[in-house]
Formats: sequence, C-alpha cells, structure tokens
Amino acid sequence: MTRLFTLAACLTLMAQEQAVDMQAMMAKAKKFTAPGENHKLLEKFLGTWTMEMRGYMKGVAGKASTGEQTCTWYVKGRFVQCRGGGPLFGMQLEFATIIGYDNFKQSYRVMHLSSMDTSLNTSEGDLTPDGKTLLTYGTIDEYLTGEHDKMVKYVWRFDSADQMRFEVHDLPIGEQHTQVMGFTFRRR
Amino acid sequence: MTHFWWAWVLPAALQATPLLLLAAALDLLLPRLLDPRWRAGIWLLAALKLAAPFEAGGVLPNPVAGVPPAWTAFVPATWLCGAALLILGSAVWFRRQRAALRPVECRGLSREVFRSLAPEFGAVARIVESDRLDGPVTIGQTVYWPAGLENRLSEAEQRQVLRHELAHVVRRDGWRELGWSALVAVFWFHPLVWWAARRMRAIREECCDRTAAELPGHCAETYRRALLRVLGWVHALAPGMALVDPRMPLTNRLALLEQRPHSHWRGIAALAALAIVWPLARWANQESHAVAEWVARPPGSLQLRYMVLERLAEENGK
Repeated sequence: MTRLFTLAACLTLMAQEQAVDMQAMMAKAKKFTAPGENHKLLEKFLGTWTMEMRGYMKGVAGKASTGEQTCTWYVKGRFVQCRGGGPLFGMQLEFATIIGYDNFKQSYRVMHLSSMDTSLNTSEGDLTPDGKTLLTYGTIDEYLTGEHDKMVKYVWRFDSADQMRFEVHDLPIGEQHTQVMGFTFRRR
Repeated sequence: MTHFWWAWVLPAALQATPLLLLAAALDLLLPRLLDPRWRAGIWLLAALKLAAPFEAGGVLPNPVAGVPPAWTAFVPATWLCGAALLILGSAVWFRRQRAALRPVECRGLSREVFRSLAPEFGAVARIVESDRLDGPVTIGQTVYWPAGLENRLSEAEQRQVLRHELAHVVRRDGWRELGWSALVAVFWFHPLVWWAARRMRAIREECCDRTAAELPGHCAETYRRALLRVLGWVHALAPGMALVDPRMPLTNRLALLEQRPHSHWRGIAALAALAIVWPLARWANQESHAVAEWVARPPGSLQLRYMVLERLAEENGK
C-alpha cells in the first residue's frame, strides 16, 4: 500500500513539472516569434524611393547615377523586401534586399542580392543607441583575388522620415575611407 | 588635383610622346631640308597633342577608378610642387629681368629706321632703349634696343636686325613663348617637352630670319655680319625674344640664310609622315590606359570589382 502511494505521488510531481516546462517554452516561443519593438524600424523602409548612387574612392565621391527602390512587406510585420535598380558602373544594376529582426539573435539580419554577381550575401547588426543608424556586418568572397570572407560593413542612416542613406564599406581597406558605395534614398 | 594628374597630365604626356619624338626626329634629321615655319608647325601639333589628348580625362573615366591609393598620391603632389615652383620661379625671374632693363625712350637713328620699317610689317610696335642689354630683345609689342648699338652697327645692319625683331612682333612670338613655357611648367617631368621648348626658341629665331629674308631689300651678307657682331657682345641671358642667345649656336641660322626658300612639298611630306605616325600615338593612348590603371589600382577589392565590371560593361557595349 505504501509503495502504491509513493508511486502516485511521484507521478503527480512529474506531471506538475512537465506542465511548468511547457508554460516556460510557450512563453519563450511567444517572445522569440512575435514581432516586437525592433520590427517597427522596418516600417521606415516601406514605400517608394528615388535613389542616387555613387562610387567612392578614398573618400571622394564619384559621378552620381539615379534609380529607384520600392520597399514592401515580404512577411507582414517581420521582413521587408526592397527591390530597385538603376544604371551603375556602366551597367543596369538590379538589386533586392531582405531585412528582418531576429528576436533570438537579438540583431537585424539582412540578405543582399544584386545583378552584379551571383552570390547571396548576408549581414547582421544592430541599431546605434540613438536609433538613427543601422550597422550590419557581413562577409563577401572576392572572386577576383580568390579571397574568402572579407569583412563588409553596411550602414543605413535614417536622416528623416523621407530620407535615408545606405553605405557599403570594404573594411580591409584600412581604418579610413572604407566606403566604396553610397546610396541616398528620398521618398517619392 | 590628384585626379587631374592621373586623368589628364600623365595620359597627355604619354600620348604626346610619339609625336614629340617624330617632331624631334624631323627637326634633327632634316633641319635644313624643311622650312623653319613647317618645323614650327610640326612642333605646334605636338604641343596641341599635349594640351588636348585624344580623350580628355578619358584614361580614368570614372572617378571611382580615378583616385589612386595613398602611395601614389605622392607623385601628383610632387608634380604640383614642381609646376608651382617653376611657374613662380619663371614669373619672378621674368619680372626682375624686365624691371632691370629700365627702358628709356629711344632716340636717334635706330628709332628713325624702326619707324620707317614698322608700316612695312603692319605692326603696332614701339622701340625703347636700355643700357642693361647686350643685344636687341623683343618682349610683346616692344623692341628693346641696347644703348649705343647704333654706334656699333651700320644703318643697313640696324635695318636688318630691326626687321628680324619686327617679325617677332608680327608673329606674336611672345604668346608662343608663353604657351610653351606653360607646357613646360605642366609637363616639367617630361624631358622631351623641355627640349621642344628649347628647340622652339631656336626655330622662332630661324622663322624670323626667314621672314626678314623674304622682304624686299634684304641683304643676307649684311644680316649675317650683324648677327655675328651682336653675338660677340652678348654674354647674358635676357627675357623675351633675343636676337642672339649665347647658349644656341648660330651655325644653323647662318646656313639657312644661304638657302633659297624651301618648297612647301617638303612640309606636306612631313605632314604625311605625321599621318603615318598618328596610329602610333593612338597605340600610346591605349598603353597609357593600362599604365594609368596599373598605378591607380584601387585600394579595396570591391572598388577593383566595380572597376572591372565597368570595363566589362564597356566591352559588352562595344
């Protein structure tokens, strides 16, 4: 009789423990899967933008060319996709960017695609404390030199609700004048 | 300024080199076969090539590909310093020398001879006298006459010499000299440009000899004697167009005075030679692309990528 009582008590305790774990996991799932405050930044991208593109060398801007970009929800509230293009470096540039915030990694994740190559580049980073700049870091493989995983920095500067700038920095260049591309977006 | 050097000065220097070499060859090999005015024209073509290369700023068409890495910035900086020093030094030297001439109104026989000759040339010119000069010099529209020279040269000799100086005024040789000086200042690193400017000074004198010789009343014997006499007195360099430059031998000028006017066919043949060498200049232009790109390699691999992609797009567009 005593044995039977002990077994029942153990089973009850185990069931209670399992119930507690499930609650915790459900809370975690809610925390990491639902869009939050950080996803509100993505709304800043939405809309149609005129685009001014320039190459840079040692801090000196090259000739500007113009294009257009349109940003829409890729997955509503979670991921934004921006598609755009224009003439650049003598060719017709076409690009797509997908931006989202990973609650678990606690960082913004970006996917960069363009007609300039066939690579699918990604970057990851955070907002600056003032919330005005998004800094992400990624790597590229340089097919011209055979180098792999060269560090690249992507910067979005939100000047106002109607203007933002996007910069590409080739970090192995050195400590200064790392910017190689610059885009200025103005809301249409 | 860095971009100006890589996109303009260096390509222009490289592109003009074959023409400068050809002009030098024609000038050296055929000095007495070709009229000095034709030789001056050939040098002028080379000068134009220096001032206006085939593709202005075209070697590095995209500023992205145009700004060289840090180490190559030293070269444009050196060029700029050299050019600035040269311009400044030349300007100061010219101003001082000209101020030192202290001209006074020319009176006497020389002025009378000058006045009688000026209408013949249709030139708006004046003559002044200076006791700081060894030989006659023309600066712009003004002929500087050494004080006392009229006592050492006969009237006939003075007439011949003044014709030569008036030819400088009519030909606007002062502007030509200024143009070549500007080219030397910009392309000071190019030895052929220095040499060309020096040759042009000599050729200008030959041109004026020729112009004076073609006028009625010219006497080669008197003129030759005047030249040799003045050469004996000249010791110092003077600003402007000097009748006699102590650094340059008179041999060629004296020999040219003996010759009859050249046929223009020789000049046309020389131009034909230029036409043959023109593709060579184009080749040099292409080479200058390669050289400039090599020295102006971008610092980042992405920049290199953009440069290559741009060139690829250009190739595909052709």
